[in-house]
Amino acid sequence: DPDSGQLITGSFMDYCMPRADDLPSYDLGFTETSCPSNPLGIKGCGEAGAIAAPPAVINAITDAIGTEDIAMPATPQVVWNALQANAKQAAE
Amino acid sequence: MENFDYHRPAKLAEAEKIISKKKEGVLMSGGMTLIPTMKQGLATPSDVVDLSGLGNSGIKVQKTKVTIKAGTTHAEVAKNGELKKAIPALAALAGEIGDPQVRHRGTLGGSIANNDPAADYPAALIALDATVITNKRKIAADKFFKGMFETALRRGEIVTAVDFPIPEKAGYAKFPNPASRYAIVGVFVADHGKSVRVGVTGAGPGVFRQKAMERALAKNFSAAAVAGIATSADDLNEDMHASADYRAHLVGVMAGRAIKAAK
Repeated sequence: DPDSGQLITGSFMDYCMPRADDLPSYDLGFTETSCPSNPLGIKGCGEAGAIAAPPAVINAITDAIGTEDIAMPATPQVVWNALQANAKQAAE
Repeated sequence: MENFDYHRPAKLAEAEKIISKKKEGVLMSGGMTLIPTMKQGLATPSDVVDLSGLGNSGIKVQKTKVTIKAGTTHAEVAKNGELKKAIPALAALAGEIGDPQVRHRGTLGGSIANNDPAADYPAALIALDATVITNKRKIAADKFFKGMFETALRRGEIVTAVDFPIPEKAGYAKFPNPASRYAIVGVFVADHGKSVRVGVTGAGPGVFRQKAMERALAKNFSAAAVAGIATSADDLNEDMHASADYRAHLVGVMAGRAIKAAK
């Protein structure tokens, strides 16, 4: 909550822990480029998954709706609000 | 969790005696709401009376009604072959409550006695015009659910079974909270031939009937009949997952889906 700083996803009743049935199937691919700045050629990669996937999804949503104004998380409520705002703009 | 005395009576009369005597005691059926509440320190009963020792579970399907005993778990309701033929929407509703662990502990009696505003069963009882049977009397569903976590049950009164009239067809659709899988909005539609009843859960502080949709569906039981019917957002719930306006919108969407799925 931006005003109080209170954590509103205080438990797993509201914070959605992804479960097995939330995952789609996917194929795995590998690509290797050694990092030049250390002898082992390695790099930390904990956040790699967060670099490409979220922008791809959000771009798909903004493209579908025709608005640039979608903030993460793109919950059903957020998407619906954007659709309503768009419909209103189109009507005006 | 604070200390408490645990009882597991084998007879209903024993349970009645204990709960009447222990003023700070509570009844427990599946414990799927009570136990987490106690773990969070939000409930500190002096005594917990576990009703699972009564063996009060079972489903009986007759010609015009189904009787489900209060201690029947959601998993049992979901997989019961005779119920799936008589009121498939009710079995399907039970099969979507929470997750498998919850469904193998949670019970019909416990769920309705708790009356969580986001629970699924209240919508079904209202739409099916069910009768709640307690150790003291019979209560029509319309009179049973009074408000958020509030029912017509009096102190010492224990739900023993629920009678569900068998409708011509019925359907349930819910828009779940992605984390808890409780209903953000759940709509149960039942066509009783002469009339149609629509029970809405999750949207407001308690289950309610969408009477405008009932009237339209009585004339024409189709999703098209309710397509233009709006639900007022006044007094609907607001939280991080859905605003009152969005919930009002979802009532229409879920009603349409429930009607299309009705069988």
